[in-house]
Amino acid sequence: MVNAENVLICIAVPLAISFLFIKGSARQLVSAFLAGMVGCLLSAYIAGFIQMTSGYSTEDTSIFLSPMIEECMKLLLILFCIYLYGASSRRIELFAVGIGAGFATFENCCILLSSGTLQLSYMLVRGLAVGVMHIATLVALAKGIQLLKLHKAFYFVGIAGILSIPVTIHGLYNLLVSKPGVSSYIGYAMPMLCVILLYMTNVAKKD
Amino acid sequence: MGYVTRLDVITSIIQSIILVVIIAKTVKLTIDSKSSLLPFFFALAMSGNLLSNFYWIAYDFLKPDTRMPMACNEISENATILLLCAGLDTILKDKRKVAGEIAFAILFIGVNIVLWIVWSGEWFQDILFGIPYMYLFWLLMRGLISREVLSQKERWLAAAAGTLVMSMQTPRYVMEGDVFNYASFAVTIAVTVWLGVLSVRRKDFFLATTFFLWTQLSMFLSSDVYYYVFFFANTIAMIVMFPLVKKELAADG
Repeated sequence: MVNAENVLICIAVPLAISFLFIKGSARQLVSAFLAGMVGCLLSAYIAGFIQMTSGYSTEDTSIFLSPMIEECMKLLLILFCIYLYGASSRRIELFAVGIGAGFATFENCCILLSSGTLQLSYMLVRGLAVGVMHIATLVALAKGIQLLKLHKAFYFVGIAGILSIPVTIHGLYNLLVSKPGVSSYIGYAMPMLCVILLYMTNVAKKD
Repeated sequence: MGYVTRLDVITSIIQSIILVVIIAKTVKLTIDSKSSLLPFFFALAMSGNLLSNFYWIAYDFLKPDTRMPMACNEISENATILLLCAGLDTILKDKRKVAGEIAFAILFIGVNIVLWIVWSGEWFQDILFGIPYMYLFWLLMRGLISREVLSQKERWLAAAAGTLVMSMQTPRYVMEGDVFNYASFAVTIAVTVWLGVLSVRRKDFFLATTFFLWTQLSMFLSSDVYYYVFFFANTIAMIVMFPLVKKELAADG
């Protein structure tokens, strides 16, 4: 049993102190990172509440409902950051990476503390698949928001449409890794493939 | 894996292949015509549909022959509807709000929602995800009327057929026997063919989207093999819709 709030305080306080000495985009990245961690904790609260009220099992909640809750929370965080700091394309991506990294770090810390020190292979999977998944879906979301702004469609329907893509990719990942075997290998490879694709679109855009 | 699940996998794979082609072509169209939002929304809507198909295929393989609870693919399916609404909204010129049309949209989709709830028992999800269908239905009615794609006679016929299908669905839940099943299927398939033929002949995006919506609603009202008949029609509706996006762009100048 891990007290997630204590873990959050341990990681968040030093980062919050660092605000005194950093400025500009470094400060924005750290605040996005912190927001990501808080978002992860809130998602866990909401998922727990929905699990209690809906009667879903723990496994079903993590496979079918968690992706929706987590991605909605991440979207809200991105929108909040855009509201606070403005919405240039470079900033949106910075927030996305920060929130994603914070979200993944906090989730990994809690898993690590609750399960004890497991095998290195398991840790690698957690780092390279689950951790990367949060960053990949958020960068996809950020790119979607940039597209919406480009096409002047930054309103509810456009955002809902864009949100559905990371939600379904995240849900697909959770579904694939829920059973051992070939499907789990496909699932573990998916986040890395997404990141490579997103990186390639970045490089192609610069060229 | 049972017969129906296998059928589900095969039809989903076929539709996914078609969707990949449609999305690729629509993305090209989006890049070529930066000023119009319709292809952008259409590409996104079809992407939502494609992801939902992938989810179904994965689910069928991992949990065959079980009923899927509320899951992420439903977000995609609803985003598809919302994005189609957004696309239609950009090309709808006459946006007058006629009380009768709004009431009919709420009533027609409302009855559908009630039937979904009776079948699934998931009232919260069905009501929440049914609302975008009401908006889409109203947009389609407005578009069909303002563009005069259907004559008044045809509009009355469509409304009567829709009401007939809905009224035949209710006895299925309270009466024994398959009479209403067959009768309802016969009328639904007749309307599907009629809408399909009209969409191809009249080449109007609103009509093709009506065909798409009808096949979607028919899928939700059907089970077993009947479901896949409408799934097939739904795939055809998407194929019919793509060239009409192009046509709308050309008409827009």
